[in-house]
Amino acid sequence: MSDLVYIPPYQRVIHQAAFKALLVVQFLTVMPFMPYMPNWLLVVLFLVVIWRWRVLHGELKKPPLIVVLAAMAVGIIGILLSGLNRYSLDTAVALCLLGYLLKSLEVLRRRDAILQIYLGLFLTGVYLLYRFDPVAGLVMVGLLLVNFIALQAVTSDVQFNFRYAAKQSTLLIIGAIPVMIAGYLFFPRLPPLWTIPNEQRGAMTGMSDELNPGSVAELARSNAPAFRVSFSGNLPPRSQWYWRGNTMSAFDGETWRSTVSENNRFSWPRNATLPTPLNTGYQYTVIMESSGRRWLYFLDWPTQAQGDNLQVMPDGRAVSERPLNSVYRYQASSALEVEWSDQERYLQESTLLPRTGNEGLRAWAIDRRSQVNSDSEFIESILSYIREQDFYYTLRPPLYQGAQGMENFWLGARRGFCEHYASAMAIILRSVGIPTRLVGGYLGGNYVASGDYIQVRQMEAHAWLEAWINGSWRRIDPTAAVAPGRVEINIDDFFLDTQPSDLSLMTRVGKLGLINQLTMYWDSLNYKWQVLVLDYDNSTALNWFEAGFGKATALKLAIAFLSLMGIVALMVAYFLGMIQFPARTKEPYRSLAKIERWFGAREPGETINNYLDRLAHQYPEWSGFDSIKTLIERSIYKPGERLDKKALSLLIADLRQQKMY
Amino acid sequence: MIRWLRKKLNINMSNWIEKRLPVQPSVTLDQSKIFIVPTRQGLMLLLISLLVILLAINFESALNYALAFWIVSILWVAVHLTFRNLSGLSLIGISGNLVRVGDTAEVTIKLTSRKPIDRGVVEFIHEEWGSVQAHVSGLETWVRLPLTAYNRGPVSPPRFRLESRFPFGLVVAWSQVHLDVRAWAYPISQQFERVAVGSDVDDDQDLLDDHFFREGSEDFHSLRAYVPGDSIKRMHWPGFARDVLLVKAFSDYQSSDEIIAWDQFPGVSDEQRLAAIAYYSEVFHRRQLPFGVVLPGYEIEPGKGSEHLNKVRRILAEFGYV
Repeated sequence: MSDLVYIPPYQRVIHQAAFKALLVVQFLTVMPFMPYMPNWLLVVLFLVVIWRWRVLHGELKKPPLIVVLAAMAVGIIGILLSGLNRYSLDTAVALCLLGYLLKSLEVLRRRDAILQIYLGLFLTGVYLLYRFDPVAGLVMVGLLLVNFIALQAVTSDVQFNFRYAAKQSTLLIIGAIPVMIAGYLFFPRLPPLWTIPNEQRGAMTGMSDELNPGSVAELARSNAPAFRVSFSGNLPPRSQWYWRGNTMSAFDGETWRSTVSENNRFSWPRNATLPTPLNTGYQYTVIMESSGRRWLYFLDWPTQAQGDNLQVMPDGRAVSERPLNSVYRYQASSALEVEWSDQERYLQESTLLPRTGNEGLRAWAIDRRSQVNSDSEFIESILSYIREQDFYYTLRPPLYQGAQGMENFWLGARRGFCEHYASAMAIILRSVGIPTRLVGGYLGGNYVASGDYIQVRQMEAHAWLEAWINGSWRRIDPTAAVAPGRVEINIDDFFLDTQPSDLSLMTRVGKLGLINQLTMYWDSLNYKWQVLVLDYDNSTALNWFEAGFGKATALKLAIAFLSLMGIVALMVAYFLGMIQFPARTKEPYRSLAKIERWFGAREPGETINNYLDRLAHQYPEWSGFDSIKTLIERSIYKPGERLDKKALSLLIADLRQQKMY
Repeated sequence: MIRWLRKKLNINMSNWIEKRLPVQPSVTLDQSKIFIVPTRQGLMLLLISLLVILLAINFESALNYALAFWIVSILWVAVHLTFRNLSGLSLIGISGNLVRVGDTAEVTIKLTSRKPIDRGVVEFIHEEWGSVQAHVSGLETWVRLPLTAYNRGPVSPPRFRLESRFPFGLVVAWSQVHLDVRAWAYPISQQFERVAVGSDVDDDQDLLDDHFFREGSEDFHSLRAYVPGDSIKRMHWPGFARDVLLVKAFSDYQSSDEIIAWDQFPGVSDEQRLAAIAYYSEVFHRRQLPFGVVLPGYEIEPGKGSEHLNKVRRILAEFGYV
């Protein structure tokens, strides 16, 4: 093929196969985003495909400017109408996707096609902000591969061959792995350069800072993991797996709220300390899943917490200063007995009730209190009241709305989930003046033996309460009174045994033996991924480096990096057949070559025999020529005889010795 | 000033390349002959990796660190893949065809490699022909370069650029190759008056040092292949020197064959004589008359047909160069 005028590569028109490849790759790149983006982007994708189909079949021209502008305008309005109207990541990504789709309308030349593929690579990176489990890793590899295949299609002129492209792309991606790992290990993890307002990505899951009847039951439908805990040392008994998140002290008659808002960290109290341990407890490491929230979870009662950007709160817990948008790890210790300090000012707010509402319940509580002598006794009597009366624990309770909601529950229907029991009992305790607060957290979890950790799912969300009795906070769980089994087993197992119809179909299917095993296996894989990859912090690599090479300086790291690249480059070059090692001459010719180097070359036409004879004659003071001659002669001319390499090398070594002295 | 520097640099550069890659009948590309740099597209990819790094830093996204370094590292692997496309490739100038001055000649180049690998598309670039692309795979690939024949004589490709951007266009590897391979251009025919030159005309002065003509007589007819038994006195020694055994055949002169001779066109320049010979050979060819050509140092015995015409044209093209 020959063009008489040289057209620079970037201006060449791309060929049919490249059009098709671009179309497929565009589809593959946009699809992973669909769960996070407004659905009408699919329609845009569809329209773009139709347009490109026309281009593919002969309409080889750009769309008129007016069409592109109109599409842009409609798209932007669509994004605004879809609720993405603030400067946030979701909005930026939606715009980026829209641009990616519309840009492809006018791709005819190589330059534009390359730009489209590069945008696809960037979008791969953006996708990793939404999802970062092993599946996302696979998606990343897949998108890299297809984008590079498309790049091959675009940059080859007519000679596009899918097998060639796939092979080259695979080679490219695999060959790049060692240096990628080195970069990943040693590149310093920098703090964010600027913050994106409203850092929410995807949906926020998990316990929030308010609790109204029904919010926990909502979470109970989700199978998603919330966090994983590994203990150094003993595991606490199963009945102690209360993972305490936030406390809620403000009650408006319906909803319990945390007195510090999760979203405004400038309102958080400063200089708080965790309670002092009175006995030894448990040490553990928690890896939180990304949830978009900031609450961290501890066993009762946390006495120590360490993690990045972690702030201790006065109610005996700690929170992350930044929303958890990626995997977050912290270490903590908890003790069973602790001494609280500085709690007085929080006790006041823990006895407040709204002026009106639930009057009947309050009167009931005051009446019950008058029948017993102490607060502890009162609490016991309430719990036994729950046990004795026909209270019913269910995931699908009736709605208790309005200011009288809890009264209707306690004195009326008596069907409720953990938050109803906790909320009602908190009102009862507050009405008689016992400082009480609600606790949002998780109860239970799965112990995964293969990874030696406890997996806690959103499903295990739970609410209970804490009351100030005799100078310390005491955990009270009314659910344990109505459904004693719940404390010992997970919620899905609990309902599977008693009321399976309360659970969603997915949950029930998930509990089938094999599927359950697979989910557990997958979970431990996830956990390893989080520990090894996501939570990687390059102090590990630096320590390892410093152990080998002394203090790490920029120069040393650069040298190490370059030498690694060099070594890998040589290996790659060797495997690509670009460098070849000179083949070693076979014996006995190698030894013969040495002799020739030392004593002068053979003359043309001189046989090995004659040559060695001549040397023996010429250098009578040297010994060994004869033996060498016999060895070589026999190996060459006597069939079946193999060369005694050891003997030969000894003789040669002997010659060398003689030569040196 | 800058233009002067650039010009100077260009001259230095081309001198350096001239020394490094002199004109050769064949060349095997290796490390010392291949130049390789990232393309604009490759640098753009670096920019993309920088953006991904920003994503990684700003959103503390661990996998984006991996992606960014993967992309950087991919650029570096692409250097190897592209280098391999040219490394070990041998270019051998094979032959060229015969065309009229002003037409497009073609030279044929053979690309061979020791291992049958797919090297993707290699482009041969020069202003002269724009771009010739060849998909090089297997052990042998043939490429034809079109060249405009401006003058009579050999038509050689200039120093051209051989480049590979495969497989991804991220990196460009190139070499500047100057191959010694020739096509030939014969003159455009031009009518001049043809003066008959009899055998009695003493032409010794025109054909001074050719012993064949000096020795010969009007009886000499042609050369024929040596047959055992031929007299050694009739040996054609210039032919022997070229390893061809020929014998001078003497026979009676037959006037029916037209001989177009160099000295039939007195008073015109050498090139014009050749143009005139081309003209008359075409005329006789059209009339289907047998004709022969006599040039200083060459003689083509009379014959006819297009093959004969081509033989004459080749002699006309090569005259003075071979």
